[in-house]
Formats: sequence, structure tokens, C-alpha cells
Amino acid sequence: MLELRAITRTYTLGGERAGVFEVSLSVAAGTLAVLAGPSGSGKTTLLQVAGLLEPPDDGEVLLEGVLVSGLSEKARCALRLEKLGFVFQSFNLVPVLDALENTMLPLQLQGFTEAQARDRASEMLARVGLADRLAHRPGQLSGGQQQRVAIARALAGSPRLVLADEPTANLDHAHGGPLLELMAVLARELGTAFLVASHDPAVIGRADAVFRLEDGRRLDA
Amino acid sequence: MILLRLALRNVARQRRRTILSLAVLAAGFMALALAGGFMSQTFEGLADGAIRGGLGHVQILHPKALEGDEGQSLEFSLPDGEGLAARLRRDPAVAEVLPRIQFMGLLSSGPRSVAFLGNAVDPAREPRFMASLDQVKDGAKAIGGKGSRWLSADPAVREVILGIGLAKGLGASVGSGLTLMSTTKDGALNAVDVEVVGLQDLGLKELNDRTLTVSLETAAVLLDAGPARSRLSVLLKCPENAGPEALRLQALAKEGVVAQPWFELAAFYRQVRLLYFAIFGFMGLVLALVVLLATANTLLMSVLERVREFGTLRALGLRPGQLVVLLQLEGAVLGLLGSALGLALTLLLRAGLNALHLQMPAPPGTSHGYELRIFFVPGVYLAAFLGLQAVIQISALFPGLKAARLRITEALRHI
Repeated sequence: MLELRAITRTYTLGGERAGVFEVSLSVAAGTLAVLAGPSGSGKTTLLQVAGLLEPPDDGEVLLEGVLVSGLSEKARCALRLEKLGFVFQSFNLVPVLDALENTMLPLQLQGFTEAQARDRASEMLARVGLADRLAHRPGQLSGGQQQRVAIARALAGSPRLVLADEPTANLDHAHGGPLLELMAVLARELGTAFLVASHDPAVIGRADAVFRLEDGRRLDA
Repeated sequence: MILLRLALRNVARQRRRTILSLAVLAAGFMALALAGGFMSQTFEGLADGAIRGGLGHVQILHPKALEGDEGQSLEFSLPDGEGLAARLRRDPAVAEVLPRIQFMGLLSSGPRSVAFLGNAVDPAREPRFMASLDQVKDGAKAIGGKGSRWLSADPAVREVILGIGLAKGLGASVGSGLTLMSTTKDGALNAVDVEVVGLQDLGLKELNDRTLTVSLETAAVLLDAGPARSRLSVLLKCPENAGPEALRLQALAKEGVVAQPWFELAAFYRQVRLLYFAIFGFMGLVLALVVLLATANTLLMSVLERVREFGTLRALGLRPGQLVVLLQLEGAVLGLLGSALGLALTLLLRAGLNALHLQMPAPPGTSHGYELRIFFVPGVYLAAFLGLQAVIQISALFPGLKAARLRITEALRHI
């Protein structure tokens, strides 16, 4: 599903060169893979490259076997919309939209009709256990519920790959555990690949594959 | 659709700031619409004054009469003005033709003589279309004006109506006997005794001090004019067609005359119009600048507060151009709401001001004040709306481009 080949992406932080260096990995469809490592190890940078948010300085990104790292901004926008989903540490829901509208957002951007988007988004929210919270705005939901909405939003457009950056970091254990379980189940059921950046041992323990990073390099390569 | 929904929600998000922007927009709309309504009243008043003051909708005259002053009365006249007037009255587009003689001379009350500018008109036709009777009524309020009436239609009667300043200068009043002196069109000196039957207030001091009005027959005798007339004032059934009708009437009247629409000859009207356009154009520019700054500030603040949200939308697949569209839609929503509020307030204020019947002071050079009436001018309202909307869309452009240029990963990190 996702293959990263010798990805290098660097930036200068406090006068030192940081980022990721020649990292390669692949994530299969229907699996939950984790990028593990301490803060500053390059997890987020690698997710940004895999999510086509930043181009690599060197190396290749392949999605479903197709090289996508050299595409134009417009083509990357289209790919993000149609094949990728994102889950952020701080949920990043649009505050003026309710749970249903937030979930409908990528569908409507894809061109689904209002009714189609509503049906699909309702279905996804039901799958993440929020069928009774459709009309709630983010401010009216708990952290765990907001992250479930974010997962529903990420999956609504039937992406091939979901990238999640520390999805449980802002949640307590009681909410984080079930959320991971949910992602693992959805990955298997929908055949969607999940690549999760986390240093949470609970997350790592539930992963189908773990890629350990330190100082921007893979430890287990 | 989703962008419009987002735009609507975002405008409602920061209510206090939105209300402030709407207040600025509404005030801008109101100022433009009320100013436009006031201008419209002024222009209509001036146009009416020019047309009913003697110009009519189209003037037909000798070509040289446009170039400069006559050396003597009827030097540049229409030799068979009466015949031409009779012919033009048969035209289906013409409501009336009022022949006029403009002449000059001395007015004597015995010991005192004063130079005058005379207007000779058809006593029967003139008051039906022109402001003559109103002017005589106004003149009646002046000292010596009591008992003022319009000229007799009897061609054998020799009467005169004096401008109030002219009467004052001569010490004449209604009932006074005076002598009109002038030169005939052949250059011979001639005089006619007339009786003052009324005073008239023409609204301008310079005119009141010099002008008198007599019947065409009186002037014809004084000037030995025969059927010659200085000019013909043509009144049209469709006044808005004055421009094209002037061209047609000129062709109809054949060679040796020119036909001019009233607005070409009403110099004061044109000058005031230009002045007003300059004043209100400047005011409009200032208003546009205020609206531009206010809305740009609102939208820019909104962008700065939503950096991470924009990063999220971009990560989800929103294109940079769609963010520009989103900000344009937010501007459009603000503009529509602001103009709607402005329209409501304008209509209320207009109704209130018109109901007060406020008296405006006399404009410089005139002797009459007038009642303030703010006209409802749909074209001005539409122009105000479109103008403000254009300003808002321009002001939304910079915030939109700023949002579109955000780097996604930096925007996502924004706190």
C-alpha cells in the first residue's frame, strides 16, 4: 500500500540538522503500523512526507505501487483528498461544523452530493460509536469523542491510507485504548492501512508492524 | 456548497467583529444611498428650474445666438419664428412650442431709468408649461407686489411684469406706469408705455435686478419684430427624449436654425452636477477606503485565528484556490448582510427625514430655500451595493491569498 524508499527530509533546528535520513519502510493494506520513537526522532516528519504534505529531499514515496513523491501540488491535493486520511494529535476538527458536517467535509470536497455525503458520514460516525452525537459541535464533545469524529472523517472518503500523528497523546488511557482498538478493527474491516506515529507503549503493543526511529534513522532496518 | 456553509458559519463565528463590520458596511451604504437621493433631488430641482424657467426641453434658435451676445435685439433671430412654431406644434412628439423674444433696453419711470433684459412670451400659452405664475406669486410677497397677476392675453394691452429688484430700483409697484425704450431690429429708437401688473421673483438676485416680462405683442410693437422671434422653447410629450428629439427637430426645421436639448444650454445645471459628482465622488472614495480597511481587518484577523484550521483543510485536500474562494464567499456574505442592513436603515431614515419636511437654506446666489426630500433611486442603491461589494471582494483577496500561501505543516503546528 505505502512504500517509502530511502526518504531523507531535513530541516535545521537550533543550528543542527534534524529530520529523517534514508528511511525505508512499507505498510500493507489492512494493517496498523506504528512509527515508534521518542520526541524528535523524526516520526512526524516521516508522516508528513508519507502524507504528501511535504516533499522529500531525497527518496521516493509510492502509493499502491505508484510513485507519487514528485507530483505537482494540484495532484498531491487530489491524492490527499481521494486516497489519504489524516488524524491529528489535537483532533483538528472544524469548530463551526458539527460532527456530521465535519465527517461530510472530505466527501463533499470529493464531489459527493449532500445526501450521499450525509448517509456515508452518518454510517461512519455510527461505526465509531457516535450515532447519537451527529449534531454536536467539537466544543460539545469530549476529547475521545472528538478523536472518533476525526477518525470517522479520515475514513469517510474510503482512503487507502490513514496517517495518524500521536492520536492518543491528548487522551487518557481509558479513551486511548478503545480508540486504538477501533483503528485496528477498522483497518482490518475496511482494508485501509494505518500508519500511526506514537511513542505510547499501548499503541505500539497493538500494532501489526512497528518501525522504530531514533535521530531520524530506523533502528530496526 | 460546503464552502458556502463554511463561509456562513465563519461569518457568524466572531459575532462582535462581524457586527462591527456590518455596522461599517451599513453606514457606508446608507451614506451613499442618502447622498444619491439628495443629489437626485437637487438635479431634478435644477433640471425642472431650467426647463420650466424658460428653456423648455428643446430650444430652437439662430446658430449665431449660441456664439455670443447680440449687439442689438433680434440681431440673431428666427425671421419667421411664429410660422416655425405653428409648424412644429403639428409634430406628434411636441406638446407645445413657446416662442420668445429676448431683448434689452431702458425702463423709465420718469425721473429714473434702468437698463433691463426683457423676456417676451405668449401670455396664454406660457403659464401652462412654465414657472411664470409661481414666480409672480412669489413676487407678490415683495414690497409693491401686492395684487400681482399674470399678463393679459389681449394683444392690444401693454403690460409688464418686473423682477422684484428691478421694481425696487425704479421705485415701481403694481399699477405703476412705465416706459419701455429699445431699438427696433432696424436700429431705430422706439418706446412703449406699459402698466406694471405684477412683480416676479426669479430666484436669483442678478435676474431679479434686471429682468422684466412682457407679451410677445408688446415686444413686437417695441422692436418692430413682425413674426421674428429670438427662440422657440419646445416642450416634448416625452421629455427624456430631449437629445434625439433635438436632432430630429433640427432636421424638421430645415436650415438656418439649431435645436439644442435643454441640458446643453443649462450651464448652471451642468456646473452643479459636475460639482456634486466631484464632491460625492470624493466622499465615495473615502467611504470605500474605510470599508476596505474595516473588512480587510476583519477577514485578516479571521485568517490569523484560523491558521491551523486552514492547515487541516489543506491536508484534507482543499486546494489553495478553494481557500481564496472561501474568503471571497465570507466577504460576499458580509457584503450582502451589510448592504441589507444598510438598505433597511436607509429606507427608515429616508422616511423619517422626508416626514420632517426640513427646510434647506437658499443655495448661494438664489433667493429661495427648498424642502429637503431624499429620493428613492434604485440605480443609486444598486450602485452603492455593487460598489461596496466590489470593495469587499478586493479586501478579501489579500487574506485569501495569505491563507492559500500557508505551508500546510507549519499551519498544522500553529497554536
